Amino acid sequence: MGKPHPMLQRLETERFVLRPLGRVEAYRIGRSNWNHDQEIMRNLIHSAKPLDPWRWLKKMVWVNGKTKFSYAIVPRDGGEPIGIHGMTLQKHRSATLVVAIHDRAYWGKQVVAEIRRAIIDHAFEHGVIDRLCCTVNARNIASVFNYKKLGFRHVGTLHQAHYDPVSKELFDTLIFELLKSDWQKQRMAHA
Amino acid sequence: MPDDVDLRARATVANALKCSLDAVAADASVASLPQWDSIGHVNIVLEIEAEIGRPLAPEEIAGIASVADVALLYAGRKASA
Repeated sequence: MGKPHPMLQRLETERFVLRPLGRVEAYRIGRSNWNHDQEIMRNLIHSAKPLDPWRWLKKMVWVNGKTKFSYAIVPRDGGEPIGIHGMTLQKHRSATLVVAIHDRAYWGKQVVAEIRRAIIDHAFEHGVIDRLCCTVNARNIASVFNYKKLGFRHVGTLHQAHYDPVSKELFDTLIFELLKSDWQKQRMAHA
Repeated sequence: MPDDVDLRARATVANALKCSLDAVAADASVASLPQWDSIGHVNIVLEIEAEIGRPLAPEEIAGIASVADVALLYAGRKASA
């Protein structure tokens, strides 16, 4: 048996443990916490209403331990996961990221910046990727903040490229990128 | 609101983050100001839009990461991405 993929390692930050999730647990946590959260459904699942189990199965990103990974975000003092962070590896040592914090008590507490810093560090240090490229609704300002906070660079805009299932309008999407070399420079500057 | 764009930008950020003007230096940014969190960032964008009387373009939203970026918007120039 080969060595487990680096993104299947458990990670720790100051306030959280990042526990790798399997398919069944990712499905259970996602569906039980997100399906009735209108904001998460709108922005992440792109649905105006809850999904039945079959539609959810079709929509969800299937963790496979090779190219698709998910972490449960669990407070260090225990308790239930407060959210899930996902990474999908793509061609040419690139990856995309996605996150949902379903426990609103943790909103505005810089959770995403803290856990993403650990995940990005780990992925770059272990040679998993050399580049991250993520897209976000331009009016999802809290998410835009998280990319800016971590030093992602805005490299393009897709105008009227996506459909909002609630307002039924098209919206603009921002593309953010982070290269391993830029991340390392940032880390050196803050060391 | 003060006339000077740098002072206006500092006042916008201080107001949105609910901190004193003295706590917001002209070179403050998301990296250096601990109070600058995601909810504060939403408030900053809304304050700027109220101040300039129009919604920000996607590129303008993407360019905000410091007081200097806000000052650039007030000066009528696009913030650098």
